[in-house]
Amino acid sequence: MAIVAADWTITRSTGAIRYIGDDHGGASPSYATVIELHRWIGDLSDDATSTGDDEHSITDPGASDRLGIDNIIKLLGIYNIDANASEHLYDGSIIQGTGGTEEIYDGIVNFGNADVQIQIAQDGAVLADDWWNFSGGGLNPDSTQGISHRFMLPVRTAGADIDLRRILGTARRYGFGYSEFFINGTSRGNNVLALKDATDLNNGTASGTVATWTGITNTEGYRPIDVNNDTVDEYYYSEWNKDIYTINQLTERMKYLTRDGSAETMYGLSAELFRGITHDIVISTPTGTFVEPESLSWGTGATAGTGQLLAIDSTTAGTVMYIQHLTGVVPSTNTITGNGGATALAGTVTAHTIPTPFFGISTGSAIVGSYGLGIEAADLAATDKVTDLSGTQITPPNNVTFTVFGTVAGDRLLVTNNNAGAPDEAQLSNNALINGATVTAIVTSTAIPTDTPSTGTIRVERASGNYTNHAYTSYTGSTFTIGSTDFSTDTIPATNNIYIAYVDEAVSGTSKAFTVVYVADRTFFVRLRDGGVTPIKEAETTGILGANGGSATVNRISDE
Amino acid sequence: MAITITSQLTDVSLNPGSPTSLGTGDAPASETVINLEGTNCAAIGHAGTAGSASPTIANMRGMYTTVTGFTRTDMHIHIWIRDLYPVRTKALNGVSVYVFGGGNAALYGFEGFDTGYAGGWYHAVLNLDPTTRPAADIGTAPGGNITRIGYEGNLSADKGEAFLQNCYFDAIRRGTHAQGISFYGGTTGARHTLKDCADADTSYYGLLRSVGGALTVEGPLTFGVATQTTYIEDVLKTLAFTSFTTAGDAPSIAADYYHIVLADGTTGVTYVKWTDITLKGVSRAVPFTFDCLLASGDSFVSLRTTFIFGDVITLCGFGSSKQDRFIECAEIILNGAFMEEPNFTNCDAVDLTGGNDYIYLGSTVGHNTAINVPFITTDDLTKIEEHSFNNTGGVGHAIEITTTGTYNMYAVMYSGYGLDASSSAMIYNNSGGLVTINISNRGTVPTIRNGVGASTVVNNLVPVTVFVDDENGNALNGVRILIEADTGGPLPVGTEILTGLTSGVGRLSTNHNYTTAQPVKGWARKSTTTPFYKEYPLIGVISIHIGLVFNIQMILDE
Repeated sequence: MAIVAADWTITRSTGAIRYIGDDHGGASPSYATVIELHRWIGDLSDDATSTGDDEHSITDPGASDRLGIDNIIKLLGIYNIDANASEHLYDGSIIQGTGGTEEIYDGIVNFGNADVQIQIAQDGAVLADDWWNFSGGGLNPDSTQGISHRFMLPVRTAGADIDLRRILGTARRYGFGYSEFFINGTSRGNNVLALKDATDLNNGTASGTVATWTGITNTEGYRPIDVNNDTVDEYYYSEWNKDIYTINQLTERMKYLTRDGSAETMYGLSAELFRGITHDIVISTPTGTFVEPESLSWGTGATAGTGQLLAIDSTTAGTVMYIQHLTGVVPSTNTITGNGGATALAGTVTAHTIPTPFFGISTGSAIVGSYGLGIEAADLAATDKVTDLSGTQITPPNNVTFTVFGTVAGDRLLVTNNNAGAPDEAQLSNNALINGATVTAIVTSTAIPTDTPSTGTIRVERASGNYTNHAYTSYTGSTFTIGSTDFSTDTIPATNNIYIAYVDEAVSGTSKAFTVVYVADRTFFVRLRDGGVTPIKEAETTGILGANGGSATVNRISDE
Repeated sequence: MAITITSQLTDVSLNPGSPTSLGTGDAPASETVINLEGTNCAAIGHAGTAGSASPTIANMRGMYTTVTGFTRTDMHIHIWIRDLYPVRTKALNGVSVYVFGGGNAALYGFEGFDTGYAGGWYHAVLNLDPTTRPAADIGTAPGGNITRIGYEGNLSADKGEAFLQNCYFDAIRRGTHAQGISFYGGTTGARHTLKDCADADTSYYGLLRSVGGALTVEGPLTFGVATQTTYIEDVLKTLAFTSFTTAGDAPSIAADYYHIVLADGTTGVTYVKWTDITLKGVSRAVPFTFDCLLASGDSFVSLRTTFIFGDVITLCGFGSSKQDRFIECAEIILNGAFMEEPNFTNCDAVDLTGGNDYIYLGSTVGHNTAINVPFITTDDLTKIEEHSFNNTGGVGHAIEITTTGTYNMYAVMYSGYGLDASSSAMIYNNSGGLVTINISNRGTVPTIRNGVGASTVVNNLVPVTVFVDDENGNALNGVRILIEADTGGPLPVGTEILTGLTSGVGRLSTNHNYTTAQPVKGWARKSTTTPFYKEYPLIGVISIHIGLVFNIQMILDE
């Protein structure tokens, strides 16, 4: 489409080249390539006289110069376009002014699907007006070339580059796959973005619905989580809680939060701008207290940059900080200063590839988390994978559920390891006499099975012969930690039996489930009794716990 | 044909062998051996004792001959004198001419030992005109017709004995300032040199002498004689005019005494060809005139002739004048001459009003003019072409134009002159009317002073042209050109000078009238239809001499 001359004017006295046609949303806005603008000016410039509002002819100084190719046009002397005019030009660059007045608009070309919607982050912020997304697609597309958008952006004003002419393009249309493309300093002419999206089959929940999933929360900052249940914490920059939702729903929520046009905030940033950790920085000589999150800055002039602190291994004595780089260059032996005044000297900087969406990949039933993304351990399944801040991919244990069906509230349910249709009372044995009055630990002769629930109940054989039950709050190795108990009058002799009661309580419903880490198949013995008002006959059965869990159903028979 | 000399002088006494003595000494006698002309010369002997340091006619020694009286008005006498004894200085009248008339006797000292006199024959010339003559060194200048002419010497030392004859005079002639001798002879195939002319003086007129190879002029000379054929050609010679002065150091000749004439051969031919000949007058006070009176059939071929201390130098239109030089001459009248590359240095005036006068090339370096006084006077400014004037440090005008009209001045340059209307403006319009001057080809736009009733329009029409080629060197038509005034010139900035489209030969041109250089700026554009071309900036200065030409090659903009 050639330039619509009627939509453009030139004012001789000011050199103003202006677009006067309809705005983007108007009846018939027009757009021209930069070479078309140059040709139009050239057409006027060799006219004997000017007419109307196109005040340009042979009597006027040259207004534009084509710098070698059709995609770079320099406006000469006082001639200039304004921001509005720039929005109606594409396919190249416009350079105008000199020295302290120099301005550059560089061309942006996005190769992507026709309906992709893109956002531009520049100078640490997402540009508010995405006028280049137009009518369900992009401005000035060229479908034969696979181009969805062509437009120009200002990259230099008042003789200074805007954030080193760096531009981040993102596509975060909710319901679609997310992508981003970074231009690390535009060049004159067209600069390519490659942003495309397609329907995300794992993101099918309506955004309005996901908007209500406010139970999904994130604890920001440096988080210790023992995802792999090895009793040693790994560290992450977040700890998402999926609440009652599935892991996929968690990812939908995260996509919702960071979607185009999001008004949410993450880590102190517009969630629309949030990308996750772009760099980790080894730091030294920290002073003050860093705040997670807070803005960071460093350097001056060519070394200046800003970022957002997402996590730091210690807010007061940190050695590594994890940031999202926002503007300028990354620090290089610069002093990094937090918004609150804390400082640290930057050392080695490690860049990280940014996944899109920021959290990594959702398979629909599992998540492959991005670098440093933390999720509550209990919210993860063995099919999930996360990567801690050391870069180690962590696989959660296989937490499986065993369910006993057929219960009634008030029934007493005991689930133990099976020993030929009876409780496996000798599952473990006491390591040494326990006869203290304030005992908090019971040590077994052998290691406690690793598929033992992290909290629960054990039965111990007392000197009196009674198997008393004791709740443990944790275990490690061969030691159960219990509440302070007096074993002085009825001791636990060495070698006496100890066994794990996976369930040992009066149930409250028609079923009872518990979760254990699957290690190997285990057969449970199940005993159900109720000698209350409506007594039943003792019901015993067994059930196998496999890799996918297991269940047993008790045959509850009235004893009346 | 050998050189023949004819004389306009009147012989007063060629045989003065019976003189009457003056002062003290031996009796006068007739000498017949060393006489120059005729059969004898006058002789007498000094007394052998030193002359007086306060010489008088009576205490010096000499003799005179009585001549038929003749008028003093516009009259010079020529006399050869000789003294063999060592004489006193010129100031003490070592060698002197004696004249008597109207009851007054006078001595005029011409030589002395201090001026190098060595005892040979000396040709003395004495102006007798009552109004222009020099004062008598001794005695009283003649008060009437001249009736006695002779010689007296003043010895510088005692010689111990007197000799019968040791001082002489001979060959007395007279003539007006215009009367001298004429030369003719030679053929086109046998041309004579100036030395030939000097050597032809067997009658001892003494007006052109070759002494040791050096040519001296001691009186009016005319080359060519009516009805005769004269062919004179010489190279690299100097004609030095002798400075005749009295003991009182006054010129003994009239200011208009020296002149060189090239005379019309009428039925014969006068052909004079000089190359690198120098005519050196005595001084600005005793200059020489030069008259080229040739006519059709005659020819004066002058190449690098130098006129120094000339009075009125009148050239002519027969022959050629190339690279001639005039130094401290009072006036040069071209008289129809075509002067090629002349040089005028510190001269007073040039008359350029002759019908075919023309000055082409050459230069004027300083001119002796007062304020408001022109150097060259002409009736037609086109008679001067490619000539440069430099009067730095001087005053007066370079040119006076006396006739109204429109003139094209081609490459005439000026420097060292005043502003318009000043007393030293380059051109003085004294025509009493309108003079329009069109300057062309690098000529200086002159400053003007208008005389009474005069007005002058100076047009400096120079071309402003743009030639446009494409990248392949082919003429590019349809290119729109704009050239407008830039800062630094007479026109307001932005004044449009040239605009339009180039022609089929890629040219757009105009002529403009400038009196000072005009910086310009502009551009050439062709950007409406393909092929598009980049704008070509045009920046330059319109020279008042040559205008401005842009030869540009436009570059594709696609």
